[in-house]
Amino acid sequence: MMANMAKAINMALHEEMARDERVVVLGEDVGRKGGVFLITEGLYERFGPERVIDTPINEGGILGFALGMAMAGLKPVAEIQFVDFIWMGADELLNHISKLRYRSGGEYKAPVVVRTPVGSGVKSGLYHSQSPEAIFVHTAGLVVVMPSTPYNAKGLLKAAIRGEDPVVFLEPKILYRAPREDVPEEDYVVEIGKARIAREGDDVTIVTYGAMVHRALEAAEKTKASVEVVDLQTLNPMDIDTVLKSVSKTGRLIVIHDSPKTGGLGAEVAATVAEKAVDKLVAPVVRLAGPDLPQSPVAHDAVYAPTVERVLKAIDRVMAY
Amino acid sequence: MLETSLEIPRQYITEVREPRVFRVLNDDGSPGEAYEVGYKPAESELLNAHRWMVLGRVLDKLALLYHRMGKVKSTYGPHEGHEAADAGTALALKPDDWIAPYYRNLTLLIARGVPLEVIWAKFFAKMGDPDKGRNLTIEWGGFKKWRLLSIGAPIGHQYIYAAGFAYALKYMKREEVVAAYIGDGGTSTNGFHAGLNFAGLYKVPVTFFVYNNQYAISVPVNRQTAVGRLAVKAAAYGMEGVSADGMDLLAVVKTAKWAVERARRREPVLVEYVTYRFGPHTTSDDPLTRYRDPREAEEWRRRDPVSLLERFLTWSGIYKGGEIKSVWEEAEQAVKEAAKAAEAQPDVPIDEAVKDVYSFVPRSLSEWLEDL
Repeated sequence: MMANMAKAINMALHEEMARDERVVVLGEDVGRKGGVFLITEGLYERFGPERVIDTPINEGGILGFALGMAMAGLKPVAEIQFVDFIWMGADELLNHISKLRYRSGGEYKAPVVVRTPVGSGVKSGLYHSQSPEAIFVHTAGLVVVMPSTPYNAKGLLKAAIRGEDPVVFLEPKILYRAPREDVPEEDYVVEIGKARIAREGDDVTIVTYGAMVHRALEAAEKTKASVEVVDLQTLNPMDIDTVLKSVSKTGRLIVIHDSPKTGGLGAEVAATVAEKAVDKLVAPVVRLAGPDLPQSPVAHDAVYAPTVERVLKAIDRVMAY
Repeated sequence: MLETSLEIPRQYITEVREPRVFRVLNDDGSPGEAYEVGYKPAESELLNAHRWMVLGRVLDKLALLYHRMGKVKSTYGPHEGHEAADAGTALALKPDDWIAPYYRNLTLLIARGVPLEVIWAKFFAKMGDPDKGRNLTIEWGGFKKWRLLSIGAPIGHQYIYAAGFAYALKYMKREEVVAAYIGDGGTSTNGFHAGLNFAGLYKVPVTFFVYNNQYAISVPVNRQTAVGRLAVKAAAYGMEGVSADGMDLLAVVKTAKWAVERARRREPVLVEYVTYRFGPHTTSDDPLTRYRDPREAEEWRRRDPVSLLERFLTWSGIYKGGEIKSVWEEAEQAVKEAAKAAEAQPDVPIDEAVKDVYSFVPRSLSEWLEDL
């Protein structure tokens, strides 16, 4: 069926809850309201309040409660209403969910899926537009996923729910309503840990993820250069092989993300390519990222994330070599 | 005149009554009136408790010594003073109940049947450590075999995951309960308040034990919170609270039984055990030179939980003479033999260090291992 990302994620939740009664959903307003973005719509009516739990406003409570559920053998899918609010639960996520398996010598597992909207572009200010994926990637023990299309959102979320590692599932909120595409109603998963070639090309590799995949694709249509777009899909563990293979072919690398440049994931991609394939590069690496601002200011939200124009400029820059 | 006009009648203002501290044993070991109240432990339970407590005391002392000798690999935090609270709450639980411990619960582990050699292996970071040598001595990470849930150093979060775990037990229609432990300092944490709030809200089979041992490292409990009795904190979460003497095994057993049976009926409660931390916070701490008057510990020593129980066992005629000495001798021997066995265990090999981060070993860790 034709679906946007919100619907695709909703489909994944419906299907996984129907498939496995260990799957429960919890978070603020996820029950009767169906979530502020309606991602959990219909779950409460179908699966009841024991499995679709409206929680108090306490992110540490939500994540810690989910951790306990996971230790006991359930598969909690916790929604943090906006990633910007996750910091109240940072201790639970960064100190406990991520480290449980390790600190218990493998005796306990924490298969908690934390779904949360991220990203700029919807004029939502400092506390509804953060994209702190780099912090999660920097925390060993967490799998970090960011879908870019309705199709991979559904498949990746289903894979996350079925896995035994904790997954931070970052949903670019700007993609919730559009674009739409055909999303199979049948069961399928998209493998975690694998990047996808969103577009093939020979001259320039753009490595990106989430909403920026669409910026890259739009720019690729507008330039004469032949652009290959690598959609990471999983940010940790990162599919370095796919990145290296593409860069080895094109010799040019642009990395794009909708989050601060300094210490961002672009640095990680660039450094890894420098370590493992610097001899394949014919041009300097370009990092296109958000500025190092506290977060996207409402007045200038349209230029916080790299624009198509900036992507085109970057392509011109690397093509000059 | 202005002041009187600001008054609101009493009936519109909350009232919180601080409870009396429930106590059974007098200082001389004879029981008071409360002896007749609630659960009466069997003689075998009392003997078990005494044995666990002595083992805990002996192990604690030897761990401090071995820490000074460099055998105990990381910081050690003694639990002296908590033996009765540990043994008494353990007696109230069934073998398949779960424990969300805090770090100062050594006798509790012994009571749950964790072998002394396993505990030593952990202190020595040897292969027999369920945590594979990854944590500090008293961070109980992977003692799942004994139904201990996992903790790390940041205090308080065991209360919220205990509530979540209990929710899952209820959801799966299982009969077990969770007993969650915390110190007085822990009652200031988000984990504590979130745990009580969620548990009270969803009516889950959990019981909350607070060891009020008067200190959070150096900060006394009256600098931690404005309330006198920590049990009153239950009221804000729609649950009942009790305060009991944590030095008094009988008071602990009676209140813990009450609490655990409530939990089994899905009525979480909070029990404060008033106790004392005789030792330092950890081996990195020195109370006497910094923040504590030695006379204070002497005062609490009158109700040292191990000797208080021994006085009761003698008073009641359960011990007739000589038994106490042999319990101590057997404990000394068992603890030393276990230490020797643990010392002989192999060290944790380095390739164990990269396991259990995920269900797979990520490439960056394999590369690190190869590069060593």
